Amino acid sequence: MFTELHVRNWKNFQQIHVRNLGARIFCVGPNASGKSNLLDVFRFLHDLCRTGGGFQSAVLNRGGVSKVRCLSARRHSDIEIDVRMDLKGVQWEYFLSFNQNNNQIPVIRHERVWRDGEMLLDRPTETDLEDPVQLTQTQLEQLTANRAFRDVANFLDSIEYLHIVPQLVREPERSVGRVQDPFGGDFLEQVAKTHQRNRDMRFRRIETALKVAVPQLEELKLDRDAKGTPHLFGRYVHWRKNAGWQTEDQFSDGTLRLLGLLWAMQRGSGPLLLEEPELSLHPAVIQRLPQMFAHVVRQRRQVIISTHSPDLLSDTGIRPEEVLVLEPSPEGTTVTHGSEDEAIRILVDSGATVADAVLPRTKPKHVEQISLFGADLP
Amino acid sequence: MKRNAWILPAMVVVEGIADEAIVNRLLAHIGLTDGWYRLWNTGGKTKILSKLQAYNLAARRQPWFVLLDLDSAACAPTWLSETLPVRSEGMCLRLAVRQVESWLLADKRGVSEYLGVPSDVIPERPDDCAHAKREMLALAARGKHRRCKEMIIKRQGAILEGPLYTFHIQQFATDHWDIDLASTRSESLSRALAALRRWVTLWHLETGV
Repeated sequence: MFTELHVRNWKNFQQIHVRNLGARIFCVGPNASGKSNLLDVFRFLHDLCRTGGGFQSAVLNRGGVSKVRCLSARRHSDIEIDVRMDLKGVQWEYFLSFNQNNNQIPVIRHERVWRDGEMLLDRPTETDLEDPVQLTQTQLEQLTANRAFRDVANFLDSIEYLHIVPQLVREPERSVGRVQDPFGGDFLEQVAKTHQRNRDMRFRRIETALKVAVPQLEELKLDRDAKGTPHLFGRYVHWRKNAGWQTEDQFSDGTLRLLGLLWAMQRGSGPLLLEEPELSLHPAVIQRLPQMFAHVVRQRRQVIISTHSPDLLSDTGIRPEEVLVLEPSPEGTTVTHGSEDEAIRILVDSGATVADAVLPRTKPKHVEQISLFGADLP
Repeated sequence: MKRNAWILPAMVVVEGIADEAIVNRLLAHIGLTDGWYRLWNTGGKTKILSKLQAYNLAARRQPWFVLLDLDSAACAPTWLSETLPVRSEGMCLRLAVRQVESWLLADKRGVSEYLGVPSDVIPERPDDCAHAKREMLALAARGKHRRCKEMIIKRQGAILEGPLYTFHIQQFATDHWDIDLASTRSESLSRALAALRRWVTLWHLETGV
């Protein structure tokens, strides 16, 4: 799992230095403070290593270096990412800094890898300097070059991101051709591709959990239509035995999001990134999410969650060291580890929850003015 | 405790949106700018009460100001000593007798102008009202201004809080409320102000207060 994150000039952040990352991490901050951008650091690393990914596409899909770079970046304009990982007891560190050349092509400034403190890679090497085109690719993404640190590449490839947009699941033609769409455009296709036995097993688990949140739902299955497009079928309580089947376009937002969440929790073994898992869910369900994430952590997976939800953060089992607090400032958003903030630690130690300690400080500064909106409408 | 040992900014906790506006005015009135405190609206008295012990413990190291309505409890000192017998040094717990509306009603002239009601129908000693909020609603029901209609709903003879009640209370507190005048008529307000001044001198470095 990730143990440390150091970042410079990435999107909202001029600098981030977080140590002692735990297995379950809640990122909390006001709107537009950069919670998604923080998760995006991990997604970027995933994009470097995934099949069909790579450094160039990872940067260009984000709009190029100038879009990725922090607006408050100063003289030092390189973008730097430095992550430390504990992979089966081995301590790894991966460092990447990059910028763009005169043709706006992303180029690597430095790429370094350490294993248990021993440096395995230090770029640019002499061959890089002789042939600068090589600096448009990381060695991490190349199978022929990453042999000594393949574990790191595999780990980063195993990162899962989920932020299901129900509209995209219902109308998959909106994201036709997208593969690994984090917003759920190809969610059903991914589910359909899973081996039948695994799929059935996961569906049965999901069914049991979903039935609690949506008691009318009796059965869940996946089938392809005549064109081969996969569809979800849910059987809802109905007085006639075989009536009551509905497809995903009739599922509610909350049902689809919960379904996606339950699916993602069972898929893969790498770090799981969840964007506002509370959306569209009833508070009573949200209150249980931290416990569900704790079960995922027990499977030796790291879970990184962005959230605003007081219901979610009111779980008394969430410790200050599991929280990253994002606070915007003129010099970019700052990230504070909950355990390093005395005010948070003291209040939680006094018996309050992380929600009590963190939400007051991440609320927008002049939030009261929002209720004035509309007062002057004609 | 030495002044520089306090964890800052201070925490300020209130019951609702209207109280936010009132507390902001009060703190500005005693010279505290908003960078010195974080204001949190918990969304209800029960929520504050369930966390009060924790706030009080945290107030050993950090200044806390908690504002509550006394509501129907018999008397403020008794309620306080029962609810929180030992108060930490940094804890300033104040009760509005019986609702925070009484602090607003105490500015007779302001309320009379804002609602468009004659000032002689506004209670002379709003702290003595059994329910200051109901008093405010009753006054709004008599008021001439259009805003009064938005503040209340009439149902089967009863006057209930309308959808824009909080908004107008917030507006009044922010733009119209004369705190000096009000504190001459509400003892609960003038005591709260005095307590806030003491609280601020405890931890504020440049007390221009």
